[in-house]
Amino acid sequence: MKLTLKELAAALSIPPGTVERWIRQGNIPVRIKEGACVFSFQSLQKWARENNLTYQPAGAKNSAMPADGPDTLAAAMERGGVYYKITGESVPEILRAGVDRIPLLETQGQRETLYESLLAREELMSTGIGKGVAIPHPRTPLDYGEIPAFITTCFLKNPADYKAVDRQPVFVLFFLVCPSSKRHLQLLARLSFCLRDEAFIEFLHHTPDQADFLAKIAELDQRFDTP
Amino acid sequence: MKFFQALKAGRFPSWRLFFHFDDRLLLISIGALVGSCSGLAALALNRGLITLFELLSHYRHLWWAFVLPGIGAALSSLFLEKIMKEGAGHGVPEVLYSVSRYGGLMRFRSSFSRLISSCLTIGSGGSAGPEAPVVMSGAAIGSNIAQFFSLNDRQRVALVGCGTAGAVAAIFNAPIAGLVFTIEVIIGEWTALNIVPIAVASVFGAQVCRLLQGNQIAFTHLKFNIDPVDTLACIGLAVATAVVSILLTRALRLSHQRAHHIKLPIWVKAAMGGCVVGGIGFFFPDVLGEGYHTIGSMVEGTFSNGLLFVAVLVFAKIIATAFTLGWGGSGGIFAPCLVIGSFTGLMYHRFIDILWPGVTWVNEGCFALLGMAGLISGILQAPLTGMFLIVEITGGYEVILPLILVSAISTTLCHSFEPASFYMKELVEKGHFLRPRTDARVLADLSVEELVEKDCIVVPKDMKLGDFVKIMQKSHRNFFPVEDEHTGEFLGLIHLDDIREYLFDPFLYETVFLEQIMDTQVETVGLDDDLSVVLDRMDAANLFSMPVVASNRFVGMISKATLLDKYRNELIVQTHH
Repeated sequence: MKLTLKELAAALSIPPGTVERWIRQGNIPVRIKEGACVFSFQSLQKWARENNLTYQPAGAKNSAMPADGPDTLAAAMERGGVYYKITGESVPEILRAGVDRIPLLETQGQRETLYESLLAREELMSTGIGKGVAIPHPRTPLDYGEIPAFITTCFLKNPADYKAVDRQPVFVLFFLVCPSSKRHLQLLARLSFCLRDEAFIEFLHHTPDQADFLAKIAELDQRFDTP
Repeated sequence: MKFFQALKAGRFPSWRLFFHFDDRLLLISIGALVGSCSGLAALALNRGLITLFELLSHYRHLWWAFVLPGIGAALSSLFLEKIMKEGAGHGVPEVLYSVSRYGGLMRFRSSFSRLISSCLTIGSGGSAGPEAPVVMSGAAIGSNIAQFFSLNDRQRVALVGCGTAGAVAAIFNAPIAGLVFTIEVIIGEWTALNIVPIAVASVFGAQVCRLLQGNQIAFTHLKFNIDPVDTLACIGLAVATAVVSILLTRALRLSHQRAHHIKLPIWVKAAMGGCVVGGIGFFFPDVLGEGYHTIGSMVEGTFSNGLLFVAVLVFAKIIATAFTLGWGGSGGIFAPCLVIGSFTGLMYHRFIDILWPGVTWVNEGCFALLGMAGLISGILQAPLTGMFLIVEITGGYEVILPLILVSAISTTLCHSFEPASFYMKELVEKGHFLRPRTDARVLADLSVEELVEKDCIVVPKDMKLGDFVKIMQKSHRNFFPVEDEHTGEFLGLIHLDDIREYLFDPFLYETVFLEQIMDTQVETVGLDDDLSVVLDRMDAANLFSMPVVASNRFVGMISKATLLDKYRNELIVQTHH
């Protein structure tokens, strides 16, 4: 195989200076021929294994990359969907109605576990964070395997008492469900960035339709990314 | 030459296949070539010495003969200084330095320069040996052949070893001593990868010598009947050789320092030193030259002088050697060690003979042998070399028990007084002595450039704390280098720990500039700094990371955490064969 020094160094995750020195000293089964690093793939891989290193060519690395990059609020909300005129008088009723709307959950069992963990979280302390907004979420991440993180937005038909911290009735809920706490924090940070914006709260009060709502979220996403 | 060039260019497909099949085969084959070449070099020097010594022996009895060593030493140092442009020195430390620091890289001219200069010094009567010059030229031959085949450092060091082994094997006709000396003194790493080609080179060196010179051992083989009481007496001899070894080491260093302080051209100093040696030699001709003839007569027991005379000879030889080598002559310490060792052995024998006249001691030649082993082991601090060399050059195995005893005790005693051997002392002091698989080796190989982490966010000095807090959220490091936004100059460092208390006070966000909170008294590291020095500074200041700054610009951070990671990688890679 033939690679440039930089490519080889990247594949081994070692600084190019080190790789160059190792070749010069004869510590690695690679030869320099006409400015390129020449080696046999098998012997290099064997050498890497024996020396507590990994040899991962650039192509393989990209495909093996876990989908752990930053997620955007707009994408998560699109996955979760936006629903209007949800009815319910009490916390359990509202939660039940919301969970029933979530499109990604396939079985009744999944809905049931989500509902129970949301309810358990509300009993601990209300997720009504004030200004008429609530963010119901499970206490620990719920991993449904294939299902990525999502946010389901539910506008209530009539503002209801949700035992919010500021005692104000809640008119909109964001169901935040993530497979990992890291993702949960990422999305929560973005959501809280939006909710700090008074203009956005005002915008929510007008019950925007789905397209307007998602466009606004995408705009705020962008503002979050550019400090 | 054409053949080799064709070989190198791979014009013989089957050969190329053979070499690519396994680089050990390649090393062994080239090692054999190197061994033969350095064997030839050793023989050339040997012949040259004998010729020159015989040529000059007609003039030895004349009154002005004492200037002969002076002329020889002056010529030799002029040759090295003006024509070859190499420093004086006997050769082995130079080889060690090149192996330690440059992967065995040596100049082509080194392969013959010392042969000529030492031939002049020793042939004219200077008290020095031909071994170190031969070692140096053998090593240079190995290094240049390795460069010709564009081999890597590890293979080149092995071939330098091959050259050394071939040379020592040829000059003493002692293949095992060649192998052991190389591994113990030059390479310092006992692995099959090194030992096999070096052993082969040893064989070839010795074989070349036997082909051209006949299979003769340096000294006559005699049968010694060694009793337990003789073995017991050897403990005393070991103490004596250790004392003499330390004396010789100190005398050499002292005379070297003295000569260094005299402001005269180097060849004038060499001439002065040589004349002193000539003067001593006028009264004690036994101290002149490499002195193998004298050793021969002592081993055979035909050296008839009394205790006092022998004791004076020990000191005369030490002084002559110190004046030859310390003042700029060219040659090795090996042969003088053997001579002084046999004098010491003889002196000890005479001494215990007087002390306990009733006891029948073994022949005095045996003590001369053991004395040689004691001195070699003491000076080189290489006990195995001492033992095998003496066994081989005398062809006698029956002295092995006291031999081991003397070598071991002499080495140990010398080590406690002189922790670094004569060859390594200077290198150790300058931090150039790097044995494989040691901490110093790993630290010397890693450079600051390879360790520097470049994921720090650099902030300008005029930034407000409020803006900084936003930047901080994006970074996963605790350090933020501050620079002048116009000149790019590194000004100081912000460590989160130092400013944590201000971070949560929004009042300060608009009023504090980074310039006011950065630490300007930071210790920095340069890209060319030695890692061992960097680590010492980190330890002294109790730091875990330091900024790397090159020509006033921030390059990155260097931290102990990454260092451990890389250090471990390096250690595994270097010790994995």
